[in-house]
Amino acid sequence: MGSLPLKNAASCKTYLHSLSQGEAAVLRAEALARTMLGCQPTDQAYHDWVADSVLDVRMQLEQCLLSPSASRSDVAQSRGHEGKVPLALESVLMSVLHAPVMQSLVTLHAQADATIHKQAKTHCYAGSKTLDSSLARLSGAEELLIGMDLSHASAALQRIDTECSCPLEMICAIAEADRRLADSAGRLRQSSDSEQAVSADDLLSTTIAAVIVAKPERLVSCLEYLKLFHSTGDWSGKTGFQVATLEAAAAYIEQLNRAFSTFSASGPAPRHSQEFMQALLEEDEPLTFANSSYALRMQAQHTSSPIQVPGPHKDKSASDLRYGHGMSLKQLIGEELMQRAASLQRTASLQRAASLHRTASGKLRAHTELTGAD
Amino acid sequence: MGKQDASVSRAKQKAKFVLLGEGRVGKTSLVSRIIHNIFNDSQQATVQAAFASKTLEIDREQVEVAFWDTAGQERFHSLAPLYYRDADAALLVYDITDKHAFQQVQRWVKELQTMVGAITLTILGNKCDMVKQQAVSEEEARGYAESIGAEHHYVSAKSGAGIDAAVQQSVQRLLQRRASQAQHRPPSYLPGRRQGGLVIADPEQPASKRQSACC
Repeated sequence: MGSLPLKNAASCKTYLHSLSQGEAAVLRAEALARTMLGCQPTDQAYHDWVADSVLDVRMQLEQCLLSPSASRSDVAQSRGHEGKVPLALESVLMSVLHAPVMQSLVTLHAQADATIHKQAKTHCYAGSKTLDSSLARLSGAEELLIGMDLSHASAALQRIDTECSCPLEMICAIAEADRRLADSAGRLRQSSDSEQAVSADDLLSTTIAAVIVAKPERLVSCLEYLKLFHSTGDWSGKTGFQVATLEAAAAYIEQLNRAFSTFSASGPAPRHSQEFMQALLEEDEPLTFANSSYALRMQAQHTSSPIQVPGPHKDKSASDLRYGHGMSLKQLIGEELMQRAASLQRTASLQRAASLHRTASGKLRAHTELTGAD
Repeated sequence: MGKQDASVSRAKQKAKFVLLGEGRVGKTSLVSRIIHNIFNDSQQATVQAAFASKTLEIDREQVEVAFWDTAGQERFHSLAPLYYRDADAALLVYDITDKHAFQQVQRWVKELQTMVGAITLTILGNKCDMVKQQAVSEEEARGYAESIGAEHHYVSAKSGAGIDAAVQQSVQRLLQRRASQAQHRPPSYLPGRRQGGLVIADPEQPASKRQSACC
């Protein structure tokens, strides 16, 4: 049993049962986890308290299992189990807490979850499981990846949302999605003459596409759950990278939503591309500017193939948008605006961060002076 | 990022290295080189080059280094903090034939200094096999690296030149920084742990001594 990989809460329980004192540890873990279910307020403090408690309980039970008393003379038990016992205990504890904690997180992150689900539904046809040209443009995937099979990766991402009952199961599903995407992209790269390995750009863009195809209903909540409760995770290693890529995909889709919202909320569509440009260039807030310009580019692309893209403007016809200039001009405008927007966005984020830093330094100085005066 | 587990003592140190730089400067190729050529060849290569992990022995210390590649496309720039958060070191890559790519490195440095703070910086001038088309002078590159307390190395993902030394020296500097931080750290320091979890009662103890923090 010790050599079998841990894949889910059930296999973790079986594994712990195989250890000396393991059965008692499982019972104790489940009992302690149930005591944490006494109240479930929907706030971050409750989640932090549960996360701390799970960690404390796990560490105590770990000591019981990995450092048995000398009289038992089964010290050998600890050999080879140091890596597995913490993960197994965490899974058993979290399988008891999973449903109520997730419910609480879903209430907290309902808006972000709904945004991603809505955007995914907007950009993907029902039943579409491959990377088509429209999805590739949206996600930033290279042309040679068009036609890539996303069915397995999106199915794995759907499982995170619907079937998992502990952090380990979620991590396994994310790892499978990552592996499937890397395999598919790798095959396409090999079949073309490209010698380049699958890059971070490939992985992120295809993850974005897979999330859109999967249309998860609770992705942000699931990611928050993992970050809070997967204390045994290798966060600076592969697990951390895979979760970061999925987080980046979720953040990108949220940005798309803001871009389209800004575009839709800006009132009647301008009559000419010059008016679009003027409206965007007069925008003071760089992030809004960036999002608006991206929306403009997407609109330009979508208008050229209205049948392919069921975007947020699907209730508007091309003539309503009055965007009748040639495609090359639209592309030029889009590219120009995107470059300027990205530059402004970077400047703004750095300025904000610098401002925060200055405020913090000021407070620190004031505090030092105050304590010095005392 | 999850709760830190202070109970498990690790013989091997861990380090997170993030690769940053403009698109097409050769970040992915560098990671590929690191996986396939630089270190122990018997270690299994990953299918993709977006992430790689290798164990190095530096100054008789085992260090497991995780290399995180980042997407170079401009549209993904705002997502970079998700990758470089908690990074121990950054490998900032530019193409020596591209002046703009070097300017982008300077932009990344500013961002890291603002957002991350203490991080070991190493600037890598890639494609050093194309020295005839060099657009960034050695003097400028080294001068800039020195001004920000970073090291500068010329590397070639194509030939593999310089990568080994650059990574090894970067890990060495990281270990020195960690050792220095450990000396100045208060003894009670316990990373990432907050107080206030469940107080676990020992079932062997009398009931009067048990406590519970459960609300």
